[in-house]
Amino acid sequence: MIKIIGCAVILGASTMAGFIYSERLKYRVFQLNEVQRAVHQLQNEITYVHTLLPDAFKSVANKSKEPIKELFNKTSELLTDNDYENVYEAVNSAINTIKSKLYLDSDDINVILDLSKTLGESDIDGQNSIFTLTIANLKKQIKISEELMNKNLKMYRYLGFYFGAVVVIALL
Amino acid sequence: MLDVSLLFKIGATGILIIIIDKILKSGGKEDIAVVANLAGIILILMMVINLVSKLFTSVKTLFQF
Repeated sequence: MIKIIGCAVILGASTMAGFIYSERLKYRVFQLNEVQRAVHQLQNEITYVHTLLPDAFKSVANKSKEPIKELFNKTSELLTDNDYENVYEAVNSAINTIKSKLYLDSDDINVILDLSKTLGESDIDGQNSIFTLTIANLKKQIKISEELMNKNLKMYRYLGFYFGAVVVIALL
Repeated sequence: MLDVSLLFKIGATGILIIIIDKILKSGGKEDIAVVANLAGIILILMMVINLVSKLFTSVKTLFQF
């Protein structure tokens, strides 16, 4: 009896691990879409409303979902407190503080950091061109991550179950 | 007498390893599929290694005077 329960627990745990791992891929697509939306909003704030950068970050944060909300909130706080010399360092530190909640990989983070390098350092036209570049890059990353998700989502789920089955049979 | 459950165990492991190999290959991860195959071979080897060693000792005792 205990043997059967143990086997069921192992099988359930490995299946769940597979599902949880495959969820990461979904979260990455979701967060990338959220970042894209936030960048569009930031562009609007800067181009048409001429908001100051910390306030622009704050207002974008209020319209975003977690954890992007937290990223923008944190950056806004760091910029308001004048803790850092430039926007890049502030964004970098904000990303590092909430890294555990972000499912983005280093390429995606680099796109955001590249944007932050030019924010507040040039006129509206210059910033607009960087926004266009960032959005194009984000679109590319979203496409890549969606392809990855479609290809690997089911694979990780099946693999989790079958790996558990192998372990159960080996222990039996 | 050899118990048949070991044979079934090896068969089931083999089937599962084949399925894992197929899934990994269809996902474009050939290198991991090779590692999974190797792991399966080692797993089955560990199951039969007792029997193999028993065979060797019995053969050895056969030729000892």
